[in-house]
Amino acid sequence: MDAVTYPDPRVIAFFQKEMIPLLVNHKTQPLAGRFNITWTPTLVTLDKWGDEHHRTVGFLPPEELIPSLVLGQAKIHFESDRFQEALADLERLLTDYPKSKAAPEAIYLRGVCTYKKTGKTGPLKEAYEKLQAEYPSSEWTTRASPYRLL
Amino acid sequence: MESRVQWETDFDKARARAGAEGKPIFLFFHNPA
Repeated sequence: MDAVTYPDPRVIAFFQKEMIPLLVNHKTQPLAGRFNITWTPTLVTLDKWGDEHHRTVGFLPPEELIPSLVLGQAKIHFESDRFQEALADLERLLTDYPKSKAAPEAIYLRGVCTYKKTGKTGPLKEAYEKLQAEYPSSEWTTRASPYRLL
Repeated sequence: MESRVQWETDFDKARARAGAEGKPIFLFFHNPA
């Protein structure tokens, strides 16, 4: 990632505007123990208090890292019941990075966020139908499959 | 624009900046060897 992803101008601009990038050696304690690091690279999205909301392991190119981080931002908002902000993050991900590997999870989470915000089950079924149509082999299609019965 | 990612290397400092700037933290564990 040091050779390909972090020198990319899109990544540099993303961090400059949107997140605090923190570089830590995988052996550094107590952080490696606190975050149970067993392999590198491990990429963790934390809220401003330092609590974890999203994690990936392994190399990501620039066009996958940025949507993964936007998904992490959405999860921070979702997990603090800030559904409108989470939905804005997810719409941005799906508009700007529709082909990214984070997109199926974003569709799933968008359905869940909309349900939690409105109490209406239609968005859950719509999420499943979109996943089934566009990502039939995704694990997120499987996870959403009970919503087809709504 | 910066020409490279401006990494923090201290957790407490990163958290203080995150609080002051209202931003989340991207924590990257790497193996420099």
